[in-house]
Amino acid sequence: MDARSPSALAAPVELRGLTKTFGAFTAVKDLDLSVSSGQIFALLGPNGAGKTTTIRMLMGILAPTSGSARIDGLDCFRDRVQVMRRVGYLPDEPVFYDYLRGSEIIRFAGEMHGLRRSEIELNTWPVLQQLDLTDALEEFAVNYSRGMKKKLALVCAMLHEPGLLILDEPTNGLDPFATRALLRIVRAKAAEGKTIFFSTHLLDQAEKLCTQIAIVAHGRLAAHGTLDELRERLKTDSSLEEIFFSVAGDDSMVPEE
Amino acid sequence: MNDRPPSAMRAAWLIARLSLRPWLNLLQGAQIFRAVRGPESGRIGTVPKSSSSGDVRKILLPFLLALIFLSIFFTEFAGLATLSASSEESAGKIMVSPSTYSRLEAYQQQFRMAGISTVQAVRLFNEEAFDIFLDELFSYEAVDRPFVERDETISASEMQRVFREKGLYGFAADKAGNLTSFPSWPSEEGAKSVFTRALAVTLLAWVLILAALPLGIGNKDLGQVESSFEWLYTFPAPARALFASKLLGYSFFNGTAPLLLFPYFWLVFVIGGFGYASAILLGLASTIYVATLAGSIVLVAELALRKFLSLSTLKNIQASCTILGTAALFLLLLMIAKPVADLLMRYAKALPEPIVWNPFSLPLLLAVPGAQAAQLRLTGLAMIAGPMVVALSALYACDWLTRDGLLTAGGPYQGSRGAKPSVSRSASLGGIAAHEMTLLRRDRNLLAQVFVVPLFLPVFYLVFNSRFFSTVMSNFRGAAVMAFAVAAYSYLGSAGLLLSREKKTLWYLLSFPRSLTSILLQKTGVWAAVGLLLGGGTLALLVHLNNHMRLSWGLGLMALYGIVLFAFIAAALGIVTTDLLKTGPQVQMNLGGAYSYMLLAWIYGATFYVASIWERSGQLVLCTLLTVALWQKVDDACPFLLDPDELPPRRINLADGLIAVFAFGAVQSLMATILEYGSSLSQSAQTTVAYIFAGLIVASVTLWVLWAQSATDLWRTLGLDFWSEDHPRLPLKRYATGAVILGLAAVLGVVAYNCALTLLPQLQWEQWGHDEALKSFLAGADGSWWVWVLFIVAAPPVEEFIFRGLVFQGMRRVAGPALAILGSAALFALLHPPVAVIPVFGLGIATAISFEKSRILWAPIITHAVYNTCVLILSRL
Repeated sequence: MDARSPSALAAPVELRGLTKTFGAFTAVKDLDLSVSSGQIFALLGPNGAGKTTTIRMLMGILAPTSGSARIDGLDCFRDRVQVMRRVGYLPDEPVFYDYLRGSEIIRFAGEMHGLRRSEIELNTWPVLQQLDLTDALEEFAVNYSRGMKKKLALVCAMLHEPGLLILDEPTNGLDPFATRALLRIVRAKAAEGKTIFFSTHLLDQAEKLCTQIAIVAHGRLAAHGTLDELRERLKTDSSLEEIFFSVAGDDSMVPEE
Repeated sequence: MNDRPPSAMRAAWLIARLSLRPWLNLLQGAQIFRAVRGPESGRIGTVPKSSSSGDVRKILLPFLLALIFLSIFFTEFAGLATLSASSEESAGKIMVSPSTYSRLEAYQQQFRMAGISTVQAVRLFNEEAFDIFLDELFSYEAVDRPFVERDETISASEMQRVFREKGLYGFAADKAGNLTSFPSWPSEEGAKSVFTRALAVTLLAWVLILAALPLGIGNKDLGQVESSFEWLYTFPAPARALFASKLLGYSFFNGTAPLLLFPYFWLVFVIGGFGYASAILLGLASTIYVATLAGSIVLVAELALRKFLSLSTLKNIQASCTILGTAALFLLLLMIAKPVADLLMRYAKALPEPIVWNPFSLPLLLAVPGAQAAQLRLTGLAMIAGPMVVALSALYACDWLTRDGLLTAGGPYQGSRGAKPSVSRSASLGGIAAHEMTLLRRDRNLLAQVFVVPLFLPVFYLVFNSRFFSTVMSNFRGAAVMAFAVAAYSYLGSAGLLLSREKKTLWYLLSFPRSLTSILLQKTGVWAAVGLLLGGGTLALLVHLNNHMRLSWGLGLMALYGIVLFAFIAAALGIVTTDLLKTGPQVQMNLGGAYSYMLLAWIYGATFYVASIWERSGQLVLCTLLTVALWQKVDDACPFLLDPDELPPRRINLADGLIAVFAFGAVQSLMATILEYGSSLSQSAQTTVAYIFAGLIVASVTLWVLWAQSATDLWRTLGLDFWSEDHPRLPLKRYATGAVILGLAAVLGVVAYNCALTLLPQLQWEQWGHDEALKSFLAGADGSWWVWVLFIVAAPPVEEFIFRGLVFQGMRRVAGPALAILGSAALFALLHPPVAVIPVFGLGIATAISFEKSRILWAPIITHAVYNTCVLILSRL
């Protein structure tokens, strides 16, 4: 298959033997994952497991040391420009230009994706209302709280209607209303057939929301599959939390309450 | 639980130590022999790509800067001292040059002797001779010494009259041009007072710099408290301790006080007659004194401005502080120029004596020689007590100002909450251009740096020296250079910082379906337009002010082209030298990049003064190719900007080609010089040997470097892969034939060109004319055998390797075949003597075509050899 032409049958996200080393330190080692379309995929892992590095490789910001990351059959690093058309990205700590208003940031993002002004307004207005950000649009981004910045970044990620949403710790910093709104949006997108790929370490949220789970620890894939598959593989009926602790770390480290 | 929070003193000490920590870390990291980190150290995480480069430089640089400033101040003081000394003595006198003065002095004695001679005839004879002598001397002085400052209406006869009336006392020697002597404080009362007053004025300028610059560009945002300070506020330490540490930071832990102020004061005390060692102590004391005063002002001003002024005024105040501080800095450094020193002298004389008694200039009283003991003691007391009193009152003032809380209503950039977004706020252009212009418009500080500060250059020159204006600006060339300089200077703050400003928001730009290089190019285009505005405006203003200027389209176009080109050069240099992963507080251009940029701008400015068009166009072509090469590097580096570990894969760049060209030229001239002095070969033999040698060296070094850096596809790109099977190669006969045909075509071109020249002599420019030396060389006046070797065996492989293998292939990566052919041929042509430019251009095209078609280096070599053979044969006919 020619790498440049996307195949309709290609999985939205495909990682094959993905490895990234920084000097002597291996951040991600031999990651093999495949996400089919319409899935809500959660990448779980303790701090420093390599989740953000994996997402950055998916965004073409980092080049993998070996292996490949493909989105819709396109190589994430080499064909980054093509890939960005199909992906919406929400970083962990979005930082915006200080001297721009929220509405200007959204408009700029839309224009860079090739949308007209009317299209931008049409696409973003419902999401803005859901996330309750309409009041603060004329405010300069430097005065936004952390949660508001994340909401703004989410709007920017969704305005060009991508087929794949990559969210890095999406609910980190959002208040309960916004969290509920975000989860509703995610479920609605998945029902439309879009793919959601997010990384988190909020296990109860992952348990409620996602359809497929991957647990990474120390850069390696520790477990992969739906919740039921995981339960079956580990021969246990426990919650995701227990599974996580047993797979990702030492069980003796769980504090006795 | 610890019930005893630290006392105010201890808290202040801890915080001060904390603010020193970054500097100490920098010094520690700059150890020359660094312990190698083993793999056991765990997560290395962000391994810096540039390992230990520049660490030693980081320590040496401040010392170097201090030395440079020391020498600047030295010259300035010398100028001021002589000016003040001479200005007092020369009140009401006619200024003459020192040599005239000494001759008058010598002859005055003789004149007096002659006047009292008793013998009539002798007296008359001596008087006549003396008249003639005076006449000659004064006419020479009046006409040929225009650089001595005096009223231009004073004629030679006027000078004679004054001399007969007052003798030598009517004249004073202009010693301002004599700077060889070590400056000393003028001892005569009037001059001493003028000098002291001048120094007091400069000290006031210093305080302006120390106070205004931190408020202006030192602050990211005047309206907001820094988050680090806010964090410190949450500790159980009294607020006064925090403010004390901030005071220390503003006073001492910055670059200006130790690097600039201390050398200044040290020099003042050395001039005042103190020994070098005691000058250090006194200088230190004075620095501490003035710095504390200035730091207190900044501290209180910051809080007071934030509290009492409206938020939008703060933006403008910050920008004005930047402008004021930079203007004062310019003034201080420009005092080295005589007109500025003169202006300072005039102001110093106009000011009253008590100006020296202002609190900032107190240390000067210590330095003035011949001060009374009581006055010294009083001054010393004031210098010890003053900072303490001022600092304490500053701390109390801060306490009072923050009694209602540390923060006021928020930052100065306030939008409106709850407002309905207006549908078409700006119906103008969207995209990157509008985005960048909006950012520029809103950031007042950036506006000041980009628009106002570069204009200081011409404004200072115009205001302070009308003679400069008339002599240099009277021709269009000077005006064009000034326009270019203004625009190029503005890029240091605008285009050069393109990527540094985007450190945190690069993720945002990378999430768009556009290549980062194209986004950066568009941004640079915006800055180029701003530069055109600045430079074009300056040029128009200068032309308008001087009606007699003769316009020159060539120079004007060159200035405009340079303005646009250097925006791209500045941006590319800034991007290539920016390390995005290094967390630094301020946005500034890497020093190495800034120096390279200034060097390039200087070279381009010097090209304006080069007479021959060929050299100028050669320089233009080189600069353009350099820009292309730099942006090629940017393009290579873009995918790896945020990656701490990976470097872009090494491929053959246009930069390699350019470096090879320069290296070849340098090595060849070196070899030629060595051979000329060291061997007895004939001229053509020397040139040949130098050529071959230089070519071999450059080729082998380049190949080795590229191979060691694992350049991808090295042999195939260079056309040197004779052994690989999968390389689509034309059969030997075909490409050899094609190469020969192309060579003959080039020869035909030359013949046609020569015919055209002889038939239409008006096409010949002077420089295109027949170069006799070249002709004789070609004819092989001495040792004809070597000429053949040079032109057929030595030159083609070397030149083809460099120009086709490196330059052409490097350009080919970014441009299509047509542009690459033309570009490499242009470079090739312009590096030959003028008579051969057009024919060689044709040859360059022919060889590039043959390389493009065959992809083997033999083809262009054959073409080149064929061409050279035919030319040699034809020239012998």
